[in-house]
Amino acid sequence: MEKLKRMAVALSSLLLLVGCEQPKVVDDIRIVQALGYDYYDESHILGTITTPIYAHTGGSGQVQATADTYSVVSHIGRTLNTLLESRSEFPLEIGKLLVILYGKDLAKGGLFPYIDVVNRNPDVGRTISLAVVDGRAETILNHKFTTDQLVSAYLNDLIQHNTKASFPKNNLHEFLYSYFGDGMDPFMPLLKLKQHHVEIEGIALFKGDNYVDYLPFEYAYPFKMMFESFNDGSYEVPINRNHYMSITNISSKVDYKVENASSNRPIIYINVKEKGFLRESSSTMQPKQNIKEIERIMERTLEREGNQILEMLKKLGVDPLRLGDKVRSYDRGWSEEKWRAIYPHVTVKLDVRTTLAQTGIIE
Amino acid sequence: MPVKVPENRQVSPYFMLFIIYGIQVGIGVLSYERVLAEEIGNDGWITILISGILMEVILWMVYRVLEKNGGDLIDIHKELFGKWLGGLFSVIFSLYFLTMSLVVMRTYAEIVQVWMFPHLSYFAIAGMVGGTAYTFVSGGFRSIMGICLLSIVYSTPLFISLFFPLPYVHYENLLPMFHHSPLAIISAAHQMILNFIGFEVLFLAYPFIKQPKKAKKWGYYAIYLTTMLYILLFIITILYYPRRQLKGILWPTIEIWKIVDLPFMERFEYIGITIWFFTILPNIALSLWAASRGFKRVFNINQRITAILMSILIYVIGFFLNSRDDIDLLNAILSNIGFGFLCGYVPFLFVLQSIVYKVKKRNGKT
Repeated sequence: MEKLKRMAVALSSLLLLVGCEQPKVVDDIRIVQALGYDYYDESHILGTITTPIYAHTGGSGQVQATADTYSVVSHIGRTLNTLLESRSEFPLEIGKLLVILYGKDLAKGGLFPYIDVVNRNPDVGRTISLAVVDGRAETILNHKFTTDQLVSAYLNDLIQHNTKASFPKNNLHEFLYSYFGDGMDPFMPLLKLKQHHVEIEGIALFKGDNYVDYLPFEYAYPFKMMFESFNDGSYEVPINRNHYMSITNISSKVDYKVENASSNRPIIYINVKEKGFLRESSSTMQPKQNIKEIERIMERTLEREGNQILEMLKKLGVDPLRLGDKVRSYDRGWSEEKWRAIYPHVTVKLDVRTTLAQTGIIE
Repeated sequence: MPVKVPENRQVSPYFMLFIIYGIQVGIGVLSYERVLAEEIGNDGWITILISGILMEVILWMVYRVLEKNGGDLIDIHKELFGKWLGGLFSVIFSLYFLTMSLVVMRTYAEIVQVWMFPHLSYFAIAGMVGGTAYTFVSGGFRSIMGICLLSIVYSTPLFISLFFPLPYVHYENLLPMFHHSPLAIISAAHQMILNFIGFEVLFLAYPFIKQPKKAKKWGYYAIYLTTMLYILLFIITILYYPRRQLKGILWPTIEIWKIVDLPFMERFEYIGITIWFFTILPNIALSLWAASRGFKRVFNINQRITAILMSILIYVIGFFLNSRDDIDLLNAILSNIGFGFLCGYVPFLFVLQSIVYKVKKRNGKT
């Protein structure tokens, strides 16, 4: 009996704990899935959010989400929340944020204040996609896309899908890593609205948190190959002016070596090893006989494009490939200032080795 | 006469592992990477290793002191310093454990508030944590051992979360190795030892262990295990964050959980922090037990009564520590006392006791 009484007291005291925290019912909040920031004027920014709205569609039971998008103009340095809340009939929740877009004009002036807000918020994950928009973020977020009713899911899928095949890995964590890390600069995808589709125009390059320039999308693959090791890439080898061969399922490994790290003329060796499968080629070029030649063409093309990228990065003085970090790991006396000074004259030797195997169903 | 504990309240030798691991791994694991990154960065794992080895030595001393006496710290104090001074030292020792339970409870409550439920009041969280801890203390030493064992079982799924940051690690971050002077590495050990404190609870728990000679090896294993856990976690963290960013992150271990991306769950931190409750529970329960046990041994009062009074006391004091500065200050104070106790007082006891015993022996002979 005594035991029973004690148990009852213990259990009923649990009831006291109920209701302390504000419940958040899914129907009574607005889940922010995409955020956009644009330059408005010298002291104001334009913030845009989209939230999905789930409404019942008759008896089918299927719930088709539609996007609700709205923008507010806010003074620089103020958080957008209060103003955005004033437009929303339900509290805004940021926990399921997928994409953040930044207008190019805003990005030129430095993005860190806008990223820091997200960084400090414990509700936001680290795998969300960031992107710069050539044009205005607001335009993209307000656009109705035919494929997906939700622009946020559409953009996130677009970026993530490309990241798998031919675009370097990027998300909030990668951006913060490169932003905070010594001897490196961050990058983001650069998006552009083309009629009814958004396309990735290239890699937006940053110096610190300021947008400086971009690499066109054709260079994304050679950039990725120097940036990280990966599986399942794809690339098109230009055999001649109007003939391309598509290589799929490429697994690529990159390896860095640094010589004379502590001197003023360090030499960085980038060795890339690629293994891929040959697909889609017309009979004009017999792949079986010429596989060695195709390998050579691919090596030469990638080396040439890679070197063009390196030249461009050095000229701009930005280091998204994290070369400075590679040198740092070999040099005890490394300092960021010293590295920035010698970076434009640094020697980088790129070596690409390719092995191809043939697939396809016709001999 | 040294204290004797009836066999039906003792635990098997291998529980030594759970006592030490249970009280060492707690709130510090969530943030020690930041402290080390501030001090020495990528060579931090050497510091952890050195601290671990040092702790094994201190543990050896603790064993020797306890074995020679055959009782617990209260007996040792009485023998070495007499009834009054020894009693005073024992009370201070108990209060130290009381502070430890307060710090752990308050810090955990803060983490829950920041990460999960910003609107939940301190009273609700601390009531839940403190109440649960008290039920284990009132159940006696063996029920605390039960939760120590369970906490290890419950927290093992968290190791899975360590696989998620692996695609984002950068091995360059560990290079160049041995970048810092030996002096810097050793002085950072001071910061690291704070994550090893707590196993002094052996000074009171030793009589509760059956065949203590057999249990000794389990104690060494426990410290080895903690050291390895700290090194593993530290290396993953340092590979995952650039140093400059790591310096600014309050709880790096929780932040790493943010990268965990599961199709059925958006925020893994919620699971992690919830499971962490079972990691800090043995912390609070054991230190609360030690504090009340100390009072019982000195003043001979019922342990259940002191335990409940102490839980209420820390519950109330915790409420007044509401800013992060207060909590940090409290953490710093506790860490310094713990450091002083382990690296100063234990060797002092060890030396003093061996001198006293030698003198006694000589006097006995002549």
